[in-house]
Amino acid sequence: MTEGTRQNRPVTVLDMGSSLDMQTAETLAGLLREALGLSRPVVIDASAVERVSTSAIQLLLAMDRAMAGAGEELTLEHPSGAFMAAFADCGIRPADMNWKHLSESADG
Amino acid sequence: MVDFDQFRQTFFEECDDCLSALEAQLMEFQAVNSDQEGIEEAFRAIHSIKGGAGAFGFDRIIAFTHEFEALLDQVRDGRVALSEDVTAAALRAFDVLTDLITAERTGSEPDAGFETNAMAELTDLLVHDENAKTKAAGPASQPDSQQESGVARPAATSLHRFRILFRPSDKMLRRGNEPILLIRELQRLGDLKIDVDLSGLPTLEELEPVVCYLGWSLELVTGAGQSEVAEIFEFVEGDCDLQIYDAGVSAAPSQGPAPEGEAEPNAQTESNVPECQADDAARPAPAGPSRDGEEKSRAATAYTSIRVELDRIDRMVNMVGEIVIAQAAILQQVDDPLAESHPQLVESLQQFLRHTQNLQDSVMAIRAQPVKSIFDRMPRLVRELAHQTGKKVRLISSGEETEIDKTVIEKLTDPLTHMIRNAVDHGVEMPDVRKAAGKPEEGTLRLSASQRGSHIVIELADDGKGLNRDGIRRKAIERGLIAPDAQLSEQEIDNLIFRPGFSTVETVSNISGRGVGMDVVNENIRKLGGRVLIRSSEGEGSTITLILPLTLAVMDGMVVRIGPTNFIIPLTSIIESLAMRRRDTTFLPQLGEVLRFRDRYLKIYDLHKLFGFKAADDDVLGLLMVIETDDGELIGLRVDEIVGQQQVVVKNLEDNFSNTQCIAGGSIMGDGQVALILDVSGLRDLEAARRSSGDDPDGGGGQAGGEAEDQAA
Repeated sequence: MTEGTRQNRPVTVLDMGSSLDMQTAETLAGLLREALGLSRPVVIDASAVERVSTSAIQLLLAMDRAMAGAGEELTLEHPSGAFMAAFADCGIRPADMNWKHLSESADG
Repeated sequence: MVDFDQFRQTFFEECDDCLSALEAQLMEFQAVNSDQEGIEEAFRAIHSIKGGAGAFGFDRIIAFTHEFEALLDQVRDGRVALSEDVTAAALRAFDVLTDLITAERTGSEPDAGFETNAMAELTDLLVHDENAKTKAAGPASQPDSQQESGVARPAATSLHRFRILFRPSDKMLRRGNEPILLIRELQRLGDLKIDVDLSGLPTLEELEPVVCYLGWSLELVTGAGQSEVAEIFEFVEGDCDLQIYDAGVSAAPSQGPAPEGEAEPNAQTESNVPECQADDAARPAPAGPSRDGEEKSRAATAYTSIRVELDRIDRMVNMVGEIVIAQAAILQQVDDPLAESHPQLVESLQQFLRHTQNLQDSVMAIRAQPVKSIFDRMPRLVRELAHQTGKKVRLISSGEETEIDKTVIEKLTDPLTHMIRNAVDHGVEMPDVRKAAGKPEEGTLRLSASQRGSHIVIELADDGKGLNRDGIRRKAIERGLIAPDAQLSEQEIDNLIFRPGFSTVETVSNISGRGVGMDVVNENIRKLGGRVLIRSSEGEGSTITLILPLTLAVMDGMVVRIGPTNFIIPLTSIIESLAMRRRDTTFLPQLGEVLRFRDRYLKIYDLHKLFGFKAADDDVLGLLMVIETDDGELIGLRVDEIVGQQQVVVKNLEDNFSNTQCIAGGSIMGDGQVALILDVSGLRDLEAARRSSGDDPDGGGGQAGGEAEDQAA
């Protein structure tokens, strides 16, 4: 978790790394909860993600709802193909999410 | 915490079963002896491995099995003929797959591109047509996207629409099963519509990452049968609620799923696949229509076996052993007056005896496994050895269903491997040599197993050149194993190959000529309480026979008395017994007391002295048991009395005692006394230790000894 700015606004940037599998789920949960508690916009950098578990998808869904409920902006930045494919394979459509896509997939 | 290890272990055990079934079928392919059911079985085996690998995210196995499965799929529907090329490619792919699975199991990573050639070979054999698009996956690719994964399934003549209701239980993620991978597997079968139920998702604070809160309603249009759809979920049985409904034939295969309203389940189309609940076993077998009888067969076999930890079985074996001992103790107390006064009691006891014996047999049978599990590893070994040596060798196995104790099976792999290495390297000749000798260019190894009484006999016969007895004798003399003028029978010469460090090859090869192989065979088999025999005929081949006990938990023993104590000698070690007197013996300074026995000297071990019992009568030496040690040496063991032959339940002493030199274990006799089981090979070590410590076990004197020392001086 790092501090960053987007459009001159301070944001919390969460780098998802390459693996969002079951083994990292507890860590991700802690990271998301901590970021939620900061009460400011959060950017999720999913550009390097190669592997996504159902557990991670649930956490990101819950984070998305929590941020929307708190009136904070959540941005998904440069999601990788693997990241998007996992959501699609899980049956989650873009309309199910409140987060903002900053750009298209980084790798295609 | 997620208990990954347990489920990984289960997956790998199931992989062993699948690989075993797959290889058996591939060997049938090779023998041009396969039928449609065999092809189906091979397909199912590879499909199961792929499914399991998917659940654990073993990407390289997934990609490789995908191609392998695609080829077998085309073979089974007749689009690819089962030619020699296809069989050869499948066998190579099998070897590569085995290595990939082994690597995952051991946590190692095969070299990049390790499987590329084998996979390309599979891909090249696939028929690519409009209805059968097949993806040529790269060596490390994972079928991540819908675009990649949804096209592998060929269109069938009629497509079915399945509705699948899938809701993971709390356990699913904890056990390392990944719903997304299952959904991707479904996508491979055809067009999949995915509806996810997010209603159960809690807040971020309440969410437990190891619990799955999502559920899915899926519609699949596919040419695959219901059983194939169900197979995808076979690894998550018990971890989900699952219902699969056949919503009928899809009228327009290319147009995707039928309208929503048609998918409602009804009594006629409901799946035969039970929901994944713990009480599945109690349900009656499904009676609905099946695809080629497959579902019926699956239902019949699905609950016929369970996996039980070996430790639990061992505890049961031990308890049954205790019952056997207690029963023997009761019977010993039934004397004639009691039998006369209480005939009913005696009859009941005898009935109890029969039941106990049956119970013991049944419990021992639980530990028994078919030797197939190790026999199945040997074809690959033979292929590799043939490739390395440039020889043509065929392995024919029989009796694979013969069962033997699991502990024995585990220890048979090394000896069998050495035997086969030896047979291919030293037995089977090069093709041109065989041709010149009027033999087929391809050598044949016959590996067989059978039960004979309370023993299992495993034989490996080759049709090679047989043992070179002149060479063996010459080498044995050079190595000082025998005297130059030693008169040995053919059998005795043959047995020299089991002596430690013996090797007859002039150039040590990297296959079997390290001079350790046959020694290891002999040592390992003897440690299992078995024996090794060899027969050889020059120019015709050799046969090595392993005679093994059915189980290690019960042993045939000879109960002998030494001083005041009973000991048990394993029956397989005993050659014969002799009555003798001390004056028949001679004392040699280096050896101690010896007895001339059929043109050789037997070293005599007197347990009275070794174990510190009071010496018996000076002149009446008593009985001498002629024993063969683990390395084939004959020794004499002085005992006072042969009590009798008896089957004994072996009890391990290591849990309570350390340093039990010369003692292999213990057993409780019918009268409640403990008898120790002698480790006859350990006697020499104990005596040597006594000698080196200056405690002469032979007493350091006596008339015979004095004479011998005088002669030596």
